[in-house]
Amino acid sequence: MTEKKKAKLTPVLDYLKHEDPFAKGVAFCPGCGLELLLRFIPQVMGNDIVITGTPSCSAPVLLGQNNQSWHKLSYFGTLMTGAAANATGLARYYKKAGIDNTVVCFNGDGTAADIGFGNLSGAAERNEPFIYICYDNEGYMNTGVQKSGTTPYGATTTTTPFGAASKGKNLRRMNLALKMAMHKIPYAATATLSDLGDLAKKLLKAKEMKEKGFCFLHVFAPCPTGWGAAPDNTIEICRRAVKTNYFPLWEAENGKIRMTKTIKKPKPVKTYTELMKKFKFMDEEDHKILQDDVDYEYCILGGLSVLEAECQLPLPADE
Amino acid sequence: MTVSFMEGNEAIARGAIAAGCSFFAGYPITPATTIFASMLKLLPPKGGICVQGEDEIASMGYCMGAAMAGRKVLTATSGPGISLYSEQISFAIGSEIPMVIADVQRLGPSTGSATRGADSDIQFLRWGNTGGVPVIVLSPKDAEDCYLLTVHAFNYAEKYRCPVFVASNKEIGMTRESVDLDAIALPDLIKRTPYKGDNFIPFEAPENSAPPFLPIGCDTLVRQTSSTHGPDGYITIDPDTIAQVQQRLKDKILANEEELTLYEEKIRPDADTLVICYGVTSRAANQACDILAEQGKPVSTLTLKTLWPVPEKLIKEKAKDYKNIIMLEMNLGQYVGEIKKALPQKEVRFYGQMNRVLITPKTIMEVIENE
Repeated sequence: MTEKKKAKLTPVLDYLKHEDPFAKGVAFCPGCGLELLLRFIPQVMGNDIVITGTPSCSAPVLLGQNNQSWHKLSYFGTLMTGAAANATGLARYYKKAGIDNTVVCFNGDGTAADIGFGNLSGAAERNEPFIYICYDNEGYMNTGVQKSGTTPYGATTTTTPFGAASKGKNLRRMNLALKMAMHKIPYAATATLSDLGDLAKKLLKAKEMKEKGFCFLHVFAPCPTGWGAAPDNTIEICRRAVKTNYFPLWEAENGKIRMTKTIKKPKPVKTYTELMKKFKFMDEEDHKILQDDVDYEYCILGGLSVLEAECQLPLPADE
Repeated sequence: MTVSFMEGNEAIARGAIAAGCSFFAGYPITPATTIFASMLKLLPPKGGICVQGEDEIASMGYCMGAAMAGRKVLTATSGPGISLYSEQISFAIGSEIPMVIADVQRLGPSTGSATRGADSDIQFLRWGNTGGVPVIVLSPKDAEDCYLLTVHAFNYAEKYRCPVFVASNKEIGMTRESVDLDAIALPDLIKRTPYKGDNFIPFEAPENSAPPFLPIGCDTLVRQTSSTHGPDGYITIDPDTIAQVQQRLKDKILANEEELTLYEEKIRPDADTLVICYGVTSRAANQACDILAEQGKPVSTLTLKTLWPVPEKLIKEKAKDYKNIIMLEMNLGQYVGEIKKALPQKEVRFYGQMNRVLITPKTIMEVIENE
């Protein structure tokens, strides 16, 4: 536990212009990254957003299971296979009818990176007018911690266990945010919970940019239960993910890729992995592979962001 | 004798291993996930392959590929996953690709209740393919059945070259109970025997049977299509050839109804009421009838283990001496229509419940006694 300091107002609070639409006592696990994110989004973007989601950890809360946890948001609980397609239907209608609604398609990494990627990609390619937020807890947590496309190398899950025949996930994670940026959408960004000011700016930018079309936000949101981490370490995990470049913060506005936070001296990825049990079986060699993966992704990103001047997307024809 | 404490899902996995399954693919879905978890423990140490797909469509696809490479394959899901399998179930039926699909049913429709049981998919499994071709669906009542019926399912898949479903239920799949696997008498295993003759004609089969099998990519050229094909495997538009193929796909299942009929019964000589049921409900039904028998009110039970093809002959034979027929289901009446069709002369009463709660022996006793 960190030492308690006297509460000081930070610039983050300035972004919380709207009320928290959730009732107290929602059904999340202690330290849930998703809860903070879910409460944060409408406080920044407004309670008038239309949120869509899927069966997941968010569903019992967004749907108020047995009326135990309720909120004031419009919510369309869809299926994982068609999340972005359902949001497309809503957003297309609102646009055609001239209704000024912000559709936020809010899904986990299982939906975004795996089962729902096809129609996420399709919605991005067609530049549909809504915001897709992926809260990435690196696996299927609600069904009991199975691996997903964003589960990193070395992580143990129930389908990439550690044992005689398996040493955790032996494949590298996909870089979902870069993949989405390569759809040449108006706005793509990464964000996390240790940098709420950065997250708030990106939420507001997405709300503005969705007038031009599809916006994608990839938010790193730890799951203490599934990752074997202390509930009071959620924010520290996010912080170290950023400081090790495990999860760099960047945005691509109109195709211009820009780091929103640059880490001058990145720490070894081990300072991040040591915070949770899901990496506890990794040896030095495994850490080297994960570090190489982190370095490789950062290198690609670095190259892309350096080239920003030449990388701007042509503006849409109607502008 | 070794008694284990296991859930029905683990018993399905162990049944698959006992049947020679060497490939599993799946996607996380409650309440079927523990089949995947069990296969992950059991299969790789034996040299088998266990893969997680990016969705159900992919998982099912892996199984079809592995089956055509010559492996015995299993996949497991629940109702929403069957929806996504559906297109490839049609493919497996049309192209006669053997495989076993465990459907650990949960309360529908749609996502329904992930952690609540119901026999939701009984008609969906039968009719969830384009073409309406018959399929084989087995229904376990407990963990022991999960083991035994999975072995039967693999045998049927081999013999009839088709997808075979084990229609379990969350209440069976995720409930642990004592099972002595060694004490369960298994049928002789049907091995995957590649065709040995000359001139392999991929879909040429004797009447009422499936064609011989050869894997794709070996010495003999094998080609497979999801489109309508003749015995030679080539796409065809010839009406006679199409008619013959369609008829054989139907006959190879329906003409073998008797061989595919699995059931249990508890006949009480003086009874004039027969309770027909399947799945987990039959356990409550049998308990209810035991209690009634103690009270001097004998009632017989017939537990269907094969739901599709409908064991019509069995139903007719077993029901003929009873005045009252009662059908119980953990849904709002998906199978009772089949019973009524089989017993047009009888009045079939129905009790169904689909509210996430198991039908209790007490309820069943009330249903029987309100004759």
